[in-house]
Formats: sequence, C-alpha cells, structure tokens
Amino acid sequence: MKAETVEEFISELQKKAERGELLYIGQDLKRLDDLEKVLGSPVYTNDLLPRNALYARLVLSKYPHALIKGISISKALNYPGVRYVLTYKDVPGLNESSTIIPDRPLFAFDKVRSTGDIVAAVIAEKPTRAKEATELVEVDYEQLPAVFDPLEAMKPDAPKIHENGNIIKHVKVRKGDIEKGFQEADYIIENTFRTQHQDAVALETETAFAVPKDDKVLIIGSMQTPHHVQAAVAKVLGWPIDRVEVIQAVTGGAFGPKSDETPYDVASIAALGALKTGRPVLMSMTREESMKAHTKRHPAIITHKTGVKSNGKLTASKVQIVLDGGAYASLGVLVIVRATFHANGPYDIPNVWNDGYKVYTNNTYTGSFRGFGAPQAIFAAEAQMDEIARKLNIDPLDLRLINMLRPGSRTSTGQLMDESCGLPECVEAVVNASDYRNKRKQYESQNGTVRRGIGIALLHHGNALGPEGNDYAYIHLTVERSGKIHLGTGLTEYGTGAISGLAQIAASVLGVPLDYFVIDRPNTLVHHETGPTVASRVTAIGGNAARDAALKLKQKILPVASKMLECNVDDVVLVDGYAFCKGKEGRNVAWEEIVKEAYDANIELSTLGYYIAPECKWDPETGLGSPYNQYTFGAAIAEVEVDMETGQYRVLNYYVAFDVGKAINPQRVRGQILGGTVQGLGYAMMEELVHKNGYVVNPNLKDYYIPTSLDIPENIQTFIIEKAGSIGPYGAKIVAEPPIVLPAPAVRNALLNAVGSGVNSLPITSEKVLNAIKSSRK
Amino acid sequence: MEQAVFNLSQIEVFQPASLKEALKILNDNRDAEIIANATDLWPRIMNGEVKPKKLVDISGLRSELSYVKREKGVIRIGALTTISELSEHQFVSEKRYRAFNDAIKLFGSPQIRNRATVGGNICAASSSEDLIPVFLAYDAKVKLASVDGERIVSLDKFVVGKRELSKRHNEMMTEVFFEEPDDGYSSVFYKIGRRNTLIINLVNLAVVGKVQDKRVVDIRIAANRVKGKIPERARKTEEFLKGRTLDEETIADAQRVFGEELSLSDDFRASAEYRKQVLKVLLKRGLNVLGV
Repeated sequence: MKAETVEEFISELQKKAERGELLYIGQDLKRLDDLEKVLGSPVYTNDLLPRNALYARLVLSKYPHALIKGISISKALNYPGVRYVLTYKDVPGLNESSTIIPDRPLFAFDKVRSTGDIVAAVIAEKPTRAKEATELVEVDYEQLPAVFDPLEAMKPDAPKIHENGNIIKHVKVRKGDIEKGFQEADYIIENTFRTQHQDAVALETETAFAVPKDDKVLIIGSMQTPHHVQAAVAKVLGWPIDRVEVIQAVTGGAFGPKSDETPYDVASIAALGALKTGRPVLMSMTREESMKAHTKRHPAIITHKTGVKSNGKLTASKVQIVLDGGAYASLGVLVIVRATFHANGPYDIPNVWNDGYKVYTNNTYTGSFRGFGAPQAIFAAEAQMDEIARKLNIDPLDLRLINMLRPGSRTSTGQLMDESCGLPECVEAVVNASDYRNKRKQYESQNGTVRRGIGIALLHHGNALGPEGNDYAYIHLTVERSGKIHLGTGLTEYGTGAISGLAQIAASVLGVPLDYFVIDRPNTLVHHETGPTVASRVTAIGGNAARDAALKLKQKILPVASKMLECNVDDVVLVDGYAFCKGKEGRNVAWEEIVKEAYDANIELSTLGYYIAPECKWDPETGLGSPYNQYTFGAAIAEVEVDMETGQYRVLNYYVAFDVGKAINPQRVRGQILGGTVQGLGYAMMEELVHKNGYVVNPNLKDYYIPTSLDIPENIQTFIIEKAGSIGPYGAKIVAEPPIVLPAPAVRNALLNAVGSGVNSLPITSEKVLNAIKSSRK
Repeated sequence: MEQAVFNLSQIEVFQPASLKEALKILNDNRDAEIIANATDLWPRIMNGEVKPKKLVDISGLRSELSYVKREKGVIRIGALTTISELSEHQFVSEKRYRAFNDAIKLFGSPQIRNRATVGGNICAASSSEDLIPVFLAYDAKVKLASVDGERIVSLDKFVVGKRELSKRHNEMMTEVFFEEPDDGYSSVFYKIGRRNTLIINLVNLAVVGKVQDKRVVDIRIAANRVKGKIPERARKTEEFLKGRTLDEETIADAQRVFGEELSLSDDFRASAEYRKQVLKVLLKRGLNVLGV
C-alpha cells in the first residue's frame, strides 16, 4: 500500500475490505515463478542432474509392424562406456506403460507396432557413447503387413495391430430423429475434412532422472501429473507406490503429451537404469526421439452431412469422425469422446447422429494435446457452416446467428444452456471490432493479384474433465512461523501460471498479499493424489480447493485476531496482510503477529482444501445428457491477404473473444488466448508431422515448422466476456485450451471468402490455396 | 544389420593457424573434411548423416579469408566472410545487387547469419543453399587453393551435384568472385517456403539482367533444381529471352520455355507441379522487375 499517512492507510484498507473475498480476484497480479525463469536459473530437470549420472538413449523400432524374433545386446554392452542395456527382460514388474487401456509395453517384446516403439535403452557414461551403442543393439525382425490409413484399418480384413481388432473406441450421439431431420431439410450438404498430425513442440522434451535411495527410488522429471508417473513406475518395478518418490521439476511446456504415456516411459527407463547400475540415470529425449515416440495430435477424417431449411435453420447433423490413433490407445480413448460431443459445433440442432471412432494404425501413436479432439471437430464443423452458407447464399455470420447456442437452447447432447452461455456476446465483440459486415461487403468484388478475405468461427468447450474422469483437487496450505504460506498440491505448473492463480485465490480469501505465498514443488510422497493436471482444470477445479483451504485457514486465524484486537470474530476483517476490527479501524495487527500468536497458542496453521465437481450425467448409448458441468464459449474473426498467383497468404488481423466466466487474472487469461492463438495458427497454416509408410519424415525443427514472430498477425485483439459458470470459483470457466481451436476454421473461412473456394484439409499450405483458387475458376 | 559405429569422441580435429598450414594438413590427410563455423556440417554429424574421421577447423583463418573487396570491376568475397558481414558491405545495397540483399534477408536467422559463411554455403552444395543461385546468376567463379598453388573454376563447374564438389581432396575454396555488371543491370531473388523465416525453400529464383527500351540485352536466371538436385542456370530460358522485347507475349512464352526446362520433383513440402507453377510466376515477376 502506498499510503502517506495513517488516515490514508486506514481508508485504503477500508476500501479494499469492501471487496471482501474478491479482494484480488480480477487483478493482474504477477506470477510467483517468473523471476527464476527470467534469470535463467538452473531449475529444469536436466539442470539438476547429479554429477555421477549415467545417460540413457533409446533404440526405437526399425519397422512399423514386425515380429521380434530376437534381441542381442552383447555388442552394445561391450562398447566402451556402456554400463547397461535395458530390454523387456529387465522389467521386474509389469512391462506396461499405458494410461487407460493396457495395450502398450514399456519395451516391445513380441512385436513392434510403430516406428515410435521402444525396443531397448542403452545406458552409458556419456550420451554420445549411449547413442553410438544403440546402433549395436541387434534386433531380428520379421516384417508384418501394416496399415496406415485409419479407414483401411477399420475394414474387417485389415492387418490386426492388436488382438481385439483395430477399432479402439466408438462414441455415439443420437438425438431426435435424424431421418426426419433430413426430410425436413430443403438442402443437404455433405463434405469431408481432414486434419494432420500436430506435434506439441514443448520447448523442453520429455525428460526424467532417477536416483536409487536404499530400497526406494527418487525420480525428478518434466511432467504434468507426478502421481500418475509414480503409479506407472511402481507398476514397472513391481513395487508398492510409496517406494517411488516423484518430484515434478519446473517443466518447460507440456501441452498434453506430458500428461500422456511418454513421461511414464522416461521415468520408468531412468528408474530401471538407476536400479540396475546403482547410479543416477537421466533419460532425456532428443527432439527426434520425442517427435517419434511421444503422442501427437490425432489426424482426423471427418464427414459432415447437414440438413438445412432455406431460411437457414439447421434440421439435422450427421457426423462421422475417424481418428488415426496410431499403434496405441493412450488418452486418445477420451479424446474421441470430446471430439464426438463437440462435433456439430456450438449450435442448437434438433436431430443429431454422431459416430466417433478411434482406430489403431501402424503410425506412431497419438493422444492428449491441447484442445483434446476439439481442434479437429470444430475445424470441420465450422468449415461445414461456411459451406452451408455458401450453398444457401447467405452470410456465414447470419447462418451462425440463426443457429448458435444462447440461453435457452440445447447442445447436440440435449444439454440446456442457461444464462452462463456468453456466445452471443463473444460474437458481438469480434464482429464489431473487426468491422466484419463492411469488410465482407468490401471484399465481394475484388480483382487483382492480391485479395483479402474475412472469416468467422465459433466454439463451445465443455469444461474440465466431464466424461474424462473424476474432477477433484486437493490443495494444502501451511503457514510458517514467519508468516509465509506454503501452497502444496499435486496439480502442476508447466507454463500457464495457473498455480500462481491458486495462490491468488487463497490470498484473496485470506487478505494476505500474494508475495506471502510460496509454491512447493509437487512431490508424490508429500502431496495428495489429486487427479491429472489436464483439461485446463487448475483454476476451475483446483481454484475451488484453494478457496476451501483458505476459508478453513481463515477460520483458524480469525479467533486469534479477534482476541488480539479485542473484537467480535464476525467483525474481524483481513486485508492486505492486516487484520482490523470493523468500527475500530485505527487499531490493526499484522499477519505476522497473528501467526506468531497462533504458533504460541499451539494452533495448527495447516489446512487441506478439497473440491469435487458435481457428477456429469449422460447416457453412454445416446450421448444424451449433460456431459459437462459448464461451457466456455468463443468466437474469432480472421482477416487474410492472398497472393492469387502463388497461393501464399498471411493473416493480417485476428479478433478473438472468450466467455471465461470470471477472469481471475485477466492478463494471464489474455496470455492463454494469445499463446493458444499462435499455436492454433501453426496448426492452421504450417504444422504437419508427416508420416510416410509409418515413418516420420520430419522429426526435427528444421523440417517441422512452427510459427515465428514473422508469421503471426501484428494485430491480435482479445476480448474477455464474463458470464459466470456454475462450478468454477467466482464463476470462472476454463481458458487454456479453447484458443488453439479457432484459428484453423477462422483462417480457412477467411480464405474461402478471399478466393471463392474452401480448403478442407489442414494445414492450409499455399499449394492447397492455389489449388482452391484454380478450382473456383472452373 | 548395422555394424559400423560412429564415435564422436574419436574425430581428429586440426586447427591450423594459417592458410598455408591448413593446405598442408589437407594435403596430408585425404579423409579430412573442412569445417568453418559448423552451421551445416555439425547438425549433420550429430544426426549421423555424415561420419567424418578428421576435421580441419578453418575458423581460425578469418584474418586471411574474411573479406569483401571491390577492385578493378571485380567483387571478391573471402570464403570465411559471414552472411552478416556480407550484408554490411555497401555493394549489396545497389540495384544491380538487389538479389544479394533479398537472399540475405531470407537467410536463416540473425544467429545463423552471424555464423554461416559464404564459402560454407557454397561448399554445402545443396538445394537449400540460397546463395548458390545468386552467385550463379552473376557468373561467379571460385578460387581453389592447395599446396600446389591456385586455380580458378566457374561456380557451375564447381558445384556439380547434391553435396558434390568438383575439387581435389587437397583443395580448399578460398574465394568467390565475379565481374561487376554495369549499373544498367537489375536483379532480384525470390524464396518461397511454408513460413516467413528459417525455412528451407520450396523454390528459389535469382534473376540478373539488363533490359533497355524493353529489349533484353542480357539475362541470367538461376533456380533450384533446373535439371538436377542443385541450383542451376536456366540456359534455355535465357537464350530464348535474349534480344527479345519484354512484352506480355514474350513473358508468357518465356514462362512456357522455363516450365519445360525445369525438372522438379515432389517431396513432403510441396509437389513438383506446384513448384513449377510458382517458379513461372516468379519468373514473370522477376522479368517485370528488370523491365522497370
């Protein structure tokens, strides 16, 4: 507080006290972990490696599908510097590294199913030695017929990748009477859309090291969910979980793949290596290893058949989504659920028939990645909307206004939208900011080599886990005698700043400035198992647990302050690190004094906050019901400029609005919107991990392109809409994932506006745009 | 079964202090590879694409081999001149050398431009080296030095295939040079890729020429993959254009000749057909730049 006099100080306190529990909610408070990153302090896994560590390197499968007839490690083992070579034979527990369906061995043993499969790991004194010796591991393969196209893989006579056929999961939505819906339609529009493998390209690849400690093992690594890694390693070792201690180091980006199975691989290999050699072992993937062996975003083949009346009202939507799952199920069995539930876009359609399939192929496997099935589903749904508008010859915005979700309408699964549906406000914000109507008119008659276009895309995004699991969180608050407050949780920070947001909520409840808080490193032997750090759920779910822990702590603090201030407990107010008594503002005590008093009185200043979201109910046969407790809504408008002779284009302007319920920290909300937008522009314009006959063609950053600062629009405008949701703290909804979804359909639709023909597959390369230009001239 | 093991720690590295010493080392070690600032070779070594046993690190020879000289109508560029140093020389700002300016702007990143050398870019001899077509379009020659003395080879006889140089094992490229075209010349360079920087080109094209009163007095066109897998001159298109009046019809015909001359191929970045279409468009644009 910057008060000059005691009077000013008291008046400031009073003003802030009026905000009550919302003291710091909606404020752009700084992150608690930014300084160490700016200073480049050694905080990441590989920085913390003990001096005497050994290094592991992977032997990946040579073929996309083959039987393993034998593995000989003797030559590799005799290579200078090599200390051990791990194969399936070294696994004392279960040779398994999987999240939901136990279909993926840690080390391939009977066969390999993709070129990302791990066959062995060489452990040596130096990483170069380990790398060199991987070439000496002799694997005798017998190649099997392979299948790379998921549509081919669905056929009954396709090569079987696992015992039980190639369809891993089938998700359905059946609403109304689809045939009746098509009969009522004046037009029926059918299109097929395709999307590509996208790599998350976290700055830090998957990495972990293990240190043997008597009959235990300590693992330090880069990951989203340490408790899941702990359970996975314990399973591989055949140990009870309490002998495995996992600490999440500062994590250099995650985006989903670090909640999937690859962190299990690196931790398990490091742990096995450490136990076999008695020394610390680092398993840190190279970029190439990571791009081959970790989960990518699923390529999708999505067909839409939509019935629409000539007045623009949608009558029926039938969608089939086929996800290329690659060789293993991963968290992808949940990705297909989200994709199928969001397949029709944010529209009120009376008759819906969706089929979502996740299918095995011999490509490298796919799984969790920011957006979790929504980027594919919404790209197709929103491209289809523009194709419908074109057929009806009405403006794509008007088609959306006629059909979009608003309070009182129902989603594809029949869920009723209440006042928390802020989609109309999102649309209004971007339409006004972009001058959409005028631009659309202006771009109607263009000729010349350079042309412009403007396009819109909308979304809804079911919040947090919903059908993906029990949505709960634990937060520990412990106050030191000095007054510092430790926030401990199994939820993890990996770049979003969300954990600082938890402290911000607790600080607001307790009336203590944010810098009193210390965030403890997540440690599986210290913190409760608290579900995965996924689905953008830290603020919406964890925030409630942080609030609960803070309220419980406040109940311990208030009586102490009450005694010190000789004030009725109900009149004690906590603001900015001080307690004072309503009506007797002149007297106050500092947080530190209260804490010291509590310590002296033997009051335990430690609380455990807990929250579990209401159960989501829906019918697994029809999908009908409420699979999510609340929804985030968003709208984006992109404006592009196209070179009509080469198909090259750039995005000039991007306007994006999200209804986030309540922005706990608006600056960080904008940060998530901007970051997601840029990653989404990469998905839209250039990113593609190319597979050819099961081999990754471009597993490096020379040939896999992510956007640079020169590739993104200079003008990105963000708008925050706040329509309080039913479960998040103070009405907060999730925000980390949805922003990645909108650029692809918005850019695609803007290009359609510019050139007169749409590109139906991602990424939208200049070659595809040129082909669209040619087809529109025909 | 793969048996050969490449051992990084067993690379023998020579660090000569003078050109004379470097040439002696090259003469004595048939299997030695030259490495300058390592922007091309080192990633390839780390990826296991090449497995040299001996390296001659010439980065210490900057005092002898880093220079841009402009004398007697000839521009001479030392092999160890970095791209940043080249960009700072006054000559690249002239209209007749705009192709250099264009290529440098699209060359890697600032960090790469500070390290990568002109000689390294030429000797890497691949389709991703954007300076090769530019130098080809200026009819550049290279100077090769060895213990036996020096000789001059024209660039198109020096870079003969993908990763393939026509030189003896004991020779080192020390300089690239070309005669200055008169200031009636114009030039332009285009490069197109999937993003705006840090890319391997889908196509590139350098055009240098002189057009007077709409008539093509001289023209040189170089692009990636005209015939083989390296940048080459499009001689047929040049011959077609020389002496003609640059009008729409001539340009359209030149595009057709150019299209027929090109032998492009598909890869995961783009199809041959797309590359050809774009190159034809760029040729038209290049000719229009010259015609202005």
